[in-house]
Amino acid sequence: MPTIQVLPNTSTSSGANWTYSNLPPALAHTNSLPSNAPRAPRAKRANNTENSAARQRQINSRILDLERDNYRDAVIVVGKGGVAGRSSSRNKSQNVRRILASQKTFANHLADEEALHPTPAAVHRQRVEEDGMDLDGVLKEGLMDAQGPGQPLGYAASASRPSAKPKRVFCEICGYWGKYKCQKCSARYCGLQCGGVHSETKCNKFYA
Amino acid sequence: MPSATLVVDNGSYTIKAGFATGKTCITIPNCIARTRDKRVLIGQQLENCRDFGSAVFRRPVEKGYLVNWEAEKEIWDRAFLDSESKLKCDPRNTILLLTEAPNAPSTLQTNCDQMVFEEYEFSAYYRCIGPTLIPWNDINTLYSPENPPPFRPPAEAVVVVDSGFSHTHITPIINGQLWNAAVRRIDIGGKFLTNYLKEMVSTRTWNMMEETYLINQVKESVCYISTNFNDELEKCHSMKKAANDIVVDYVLPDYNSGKGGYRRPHVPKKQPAFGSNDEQVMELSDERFSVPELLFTPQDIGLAQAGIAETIMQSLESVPERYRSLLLANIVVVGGNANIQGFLERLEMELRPLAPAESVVRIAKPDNPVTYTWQGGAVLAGDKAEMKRRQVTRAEYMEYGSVWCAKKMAGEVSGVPGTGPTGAVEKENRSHKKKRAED
Repeated sequence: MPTIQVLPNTSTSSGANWTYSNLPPALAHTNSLPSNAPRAPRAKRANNTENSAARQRQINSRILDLERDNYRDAVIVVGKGGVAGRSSSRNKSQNVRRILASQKTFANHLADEEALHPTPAAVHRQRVEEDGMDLDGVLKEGLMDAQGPGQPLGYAASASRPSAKPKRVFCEICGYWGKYKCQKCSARYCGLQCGGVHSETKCNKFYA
Repeated sequence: MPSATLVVDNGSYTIKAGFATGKTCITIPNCIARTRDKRVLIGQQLENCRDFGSAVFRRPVEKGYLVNWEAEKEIWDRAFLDSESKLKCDPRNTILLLTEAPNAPSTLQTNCDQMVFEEYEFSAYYRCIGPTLIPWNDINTLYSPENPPPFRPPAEAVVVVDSGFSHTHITPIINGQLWNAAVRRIDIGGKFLTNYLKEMVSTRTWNMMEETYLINQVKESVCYISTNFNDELEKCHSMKKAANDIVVDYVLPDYNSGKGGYRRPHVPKKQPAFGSNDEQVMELSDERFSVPELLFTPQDIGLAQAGIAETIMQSLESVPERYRSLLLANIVVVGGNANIQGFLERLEMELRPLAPAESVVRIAKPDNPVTYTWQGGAVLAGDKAEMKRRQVTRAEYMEYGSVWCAKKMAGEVSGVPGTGPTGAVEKENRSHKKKRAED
């Protein structure tokens, strides 16, 4: 399950003489009332691309790409020819026919599971959302009964928590430390040479 | 009476299967492949194929969980029912011991039970979580091979680090009982590493985006885990390739002459040592260690999860304190990624500073980390009384249904309905209903 995290984006909705901004308080003033003043040059605009929702989407789609089995989507149809020693015309039970015909993927099953049997953690999360406050301590203690092996946590809850160590950045071209950031697409590179290769071949915002 | 027990460790990359009495484990690729000449190869047939160029794969096990039975049935039929197969058995006369990954969705578990009993009709069946079979192995021999202390399965406490094809699981097991609250998963496995290497190589040298199979071989032959990442990265950047002992060549396979790919020490391009042959060579330097590095630093790629060492500590937080030291002294690393050179050293290097100073950290890797789970299963299957306690027979399944069967596999009920404490509960419920009717 993807973890859901509220990320600051730059969308604001303006009312009569107030604005509603979902930027963190420290940045909220940078995105004040729409004015007629010309936009600041690119370099001076608040550049928080590393933590933006767009950046997160980019990372998520890269992770999904890396989890794929094949580079291109491929459908391999399995032949009908049965195996010797088992007649294919044998009566199959209803369950077996249903299971064999099912084209559900793991993501489908996972969504079903969350809906059918919400894990204690998910129930807790939902309760917190509804109440608007986290009556932590008590509930969480109840979830983690440290004296017994407990119930299975479920797929989403058993994922490892984020690391305490900071993220390291590498050059997208050669794999060395990524000291510099492309101003257009915030990709990392290590120096002039790789920077050149990047902007000529790999930059996401080639025409920006 | 059932004549044999078939132990099947149904992994996402390979099926490890064999009869408990035979002690030989056969590894079958758990996939269906289509080669570029449009041949479809199923399971064991992949071993006869020489040309995997641009091959595409379909895997019934997705993210470690058995999802697609249509494909799995094709592979199982050929492995267990085909008269040519070494594992040919008569399911009606065989007990099946099957593994699954922790925290499987219950619909998938039920599907599995239904397929085993209604399609294959095994006489009895026990579905268990893969790593829980590890404590049945004599793990004492791993830590002190010369003079192992006496061992009686299951081992008292083990942390199994199972780093497989689709993910890495940390599973503490105490007295043979899986500590559910402490199971943790990192979404990085062999497939992720292969794809990462593929992407890296494709931007730098040869375009390998379609050559998953080849890159997997390259990964297995050249990748290692560095214990000194910063220095080695520095070395790869600053030193000339000819002088750098990290750089190796991988000679790409030549499908026309049928020669396979192989690894060799780096030969500078300008002076070909092998005359004017037209071999194609892929040079690998920092790719060798920065790819498996992801197992220990998933944050580098933006994945919001911790590496193996940190996750072990996260997992131990959910275990009572009195067990923690015992568990830290009994860590077993299994799964295909454990074969990557330097895995143990790196894990120890990272785990030692995180663990309490007074605890001993012992990490061991069995000789064959891929089949170690299967071996544990074979030991468990040999313990007839224990198997009898755990298994569900086909008659019981037909009588009490799949819901009861799933409960029994999860250890929630111990006997058949109507006996023991569960029977009492049912009676209570009935009296409750009656009471309500009276009101």
